[in-house]
Amino acid sequence: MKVQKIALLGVLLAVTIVIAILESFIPSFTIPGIKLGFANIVILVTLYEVGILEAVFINVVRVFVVSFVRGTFMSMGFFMSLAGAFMSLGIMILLVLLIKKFSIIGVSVLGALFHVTGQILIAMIYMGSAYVVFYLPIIALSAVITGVIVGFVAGAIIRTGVIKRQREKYNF
Amino acid sequence: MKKTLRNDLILIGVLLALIIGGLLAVLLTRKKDNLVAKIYVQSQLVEEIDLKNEPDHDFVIQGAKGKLTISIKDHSIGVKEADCPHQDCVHMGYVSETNRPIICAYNQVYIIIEGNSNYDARIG
Repeated sequence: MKVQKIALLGVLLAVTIVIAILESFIPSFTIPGIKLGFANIVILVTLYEVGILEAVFINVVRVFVVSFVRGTFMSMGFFMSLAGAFMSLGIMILLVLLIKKFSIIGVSVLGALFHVTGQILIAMIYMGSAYVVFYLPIIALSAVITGVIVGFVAGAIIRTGVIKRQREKYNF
Repeated sequence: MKKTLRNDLILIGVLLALIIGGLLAVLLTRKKDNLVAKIYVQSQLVEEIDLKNEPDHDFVIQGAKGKLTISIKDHSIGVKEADCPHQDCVHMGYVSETNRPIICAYNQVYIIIEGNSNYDARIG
């Protein structure tokens, strides 16, 4: 792997970790541990501009590093993040590779929706309670709004061509 | 209009319609009378409070990892203090209606409010 690519992945990883940690300071008001998923901006940009494996790598490492920093490793919040990260990236990869029907905004909205779905499923399993379903509509609404914002921001970053230029310059 | 953009708008529209339906379902089925608050710790029912007749007071319950101070105020129930890192349950505030459970994941405590229609049935 080229040094320039390693550096780029390092920067992307650092940005997504910082976003995820900042986001963890926002109280959820619904089910504890639910995150909005603004870190998905970086994952989307990586998925579109670098590659699938790189996006998976950044996504998984992010979940672990953030849990170490916040001291939530192996807690309910950690498994919620992990499930959310996998479900969200899974559907986004499907949409980008196979179902090429949506623009980056649609991909981001569905990613955000699957992100909270994964988190809610873990919360339900962990707590053995179906009462969290009362919060489903409001969480889904916040996911759709977040998804639209994330899609716009990620699209804007991609349009600047900042990553594409690096890739062309250093040929990776 | 680009086809992908049109698909995005259809997707967002369908999702918003579903969400509004869900919100209406939650709002329309909630009850505000004859409420009973049930406090569960690790899925065990530990306390049942008739919110209509309970005077204002605070009490402490033992959660899975720490203590929670639960407060009854104006026929509503809330968590005043909690031994947990994120204080999400405290941020949820006071509740005096069904369909809005208070969840403290760290201590595995849930406070669920149910409308108790059995009271009327028994009197009848």
